[in-house]
Amino acid sequence: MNCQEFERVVRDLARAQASDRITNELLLPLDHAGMCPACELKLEEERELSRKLAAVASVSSVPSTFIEPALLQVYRQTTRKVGVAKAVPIFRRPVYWFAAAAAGLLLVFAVGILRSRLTTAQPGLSIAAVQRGEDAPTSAAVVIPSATSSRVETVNSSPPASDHRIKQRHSKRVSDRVEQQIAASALIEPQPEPEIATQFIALSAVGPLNLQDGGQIVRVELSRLAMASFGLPINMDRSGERVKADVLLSADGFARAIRFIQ
Amino acid sequence: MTAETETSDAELLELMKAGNEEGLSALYRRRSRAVHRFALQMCGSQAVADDVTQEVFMALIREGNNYDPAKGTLHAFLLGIARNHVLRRLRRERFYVSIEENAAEHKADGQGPLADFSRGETIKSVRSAILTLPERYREVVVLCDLQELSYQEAAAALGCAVGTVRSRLHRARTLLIAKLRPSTEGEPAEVKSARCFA
Repeated sequence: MNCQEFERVVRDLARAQASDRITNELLLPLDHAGMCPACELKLEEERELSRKLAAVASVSSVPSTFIEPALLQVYRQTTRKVGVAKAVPIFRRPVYWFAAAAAGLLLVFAVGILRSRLTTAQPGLSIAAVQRGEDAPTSAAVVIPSATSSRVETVNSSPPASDHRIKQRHSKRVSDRVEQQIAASALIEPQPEPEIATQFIALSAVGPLNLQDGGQIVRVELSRLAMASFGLPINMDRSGERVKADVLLSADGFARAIRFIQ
Repeated sequence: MTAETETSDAELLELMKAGNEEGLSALYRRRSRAVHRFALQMCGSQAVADDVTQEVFMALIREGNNYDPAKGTLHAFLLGIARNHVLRRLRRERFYVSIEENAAEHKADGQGPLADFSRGETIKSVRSAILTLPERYREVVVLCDLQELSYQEAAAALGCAVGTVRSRLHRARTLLIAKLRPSTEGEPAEVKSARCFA
């Protein structure tokens, strides 16, 4: 063993010597200390420190007597609180009622959303089905309400009467929805009046216009007298009024043609 | 009190958690002295040691479920809590100067008044030296040399590796030897660096 290795175990050796617990592993360092004066001095210092520390450790200290009763009192209060909390039935706790109310509100909200989605989605489907002339489940009874449905009933006499009533009620409900939907869409988006337009009249004597080069149509308003310059008839009573026209502009920005709109 | 000595700490803790007051009482009687001694040796004040002891067992009542037997013994767990409280107190009260108090009077061991006096002086000087150590060195000395915990238990209480405990203890003991060296030998112990202007 060298001094460096001795340095590593000197504390354990000193502590073991102080407590008279020398093991076989510590005999070798002890032999080294016998041969090396520096290590022996180090061991002596460590041993002295261990002895002093043992003297300090031997001094007993006792916690104050009031601590234990105070702790027990706190412990009793804690356990009592826990016990009371356990004894309360779940339906008497306010949290339970809050949770129940929240769940109820959520349910109502979800049902409302579901209903609104169904009412908006189903007529749309029916209209599409009517326009396409398909949708097997609703069949002809869905498409043609009232008068024709009675005809369908007379033709298909094989199913029982209750079945017929259900079908009739269902078809009536669906047709009502279709009508409502059509009326609603008519209210929301008023159909624009159909426009009557003349043919495009060429404005300049250039070559044939290639529309693939690009171009745009611009809606303008002109005096009604301008129609005369193109050889169109004019009502002289309305000559002071203005008339709409579409001017076709080519890609280079020149006006190529015009048509009048009524 | 045979039940106390036979029952392990973990079983007493389980009893306490189940609502048995005796569990807490037995655990307190078994471990309070070690906790109190640790706090006293760390901070040198009887009042603080009492406070820390109470806080440690209050924490055990409130957070006894946090104890994991796989991480170490309950003794180490309690000392770990005590260490946290002591360090908190030391940091909070570092600006105050404590009034000299006889933290725990050592009893005469009947070897005569001179031996008692000498022993008392030794204990006093060692305590003073320990209290002047930096916290990280002081706690390993207290745990390993005064509480006689193994390196593993000390590491569990401090929440660090065993190697760290060993190295800190080595450094702490070296510092203590230097501090406790008699003044005739120890005068030039503190060497300050000086610049030569020659």
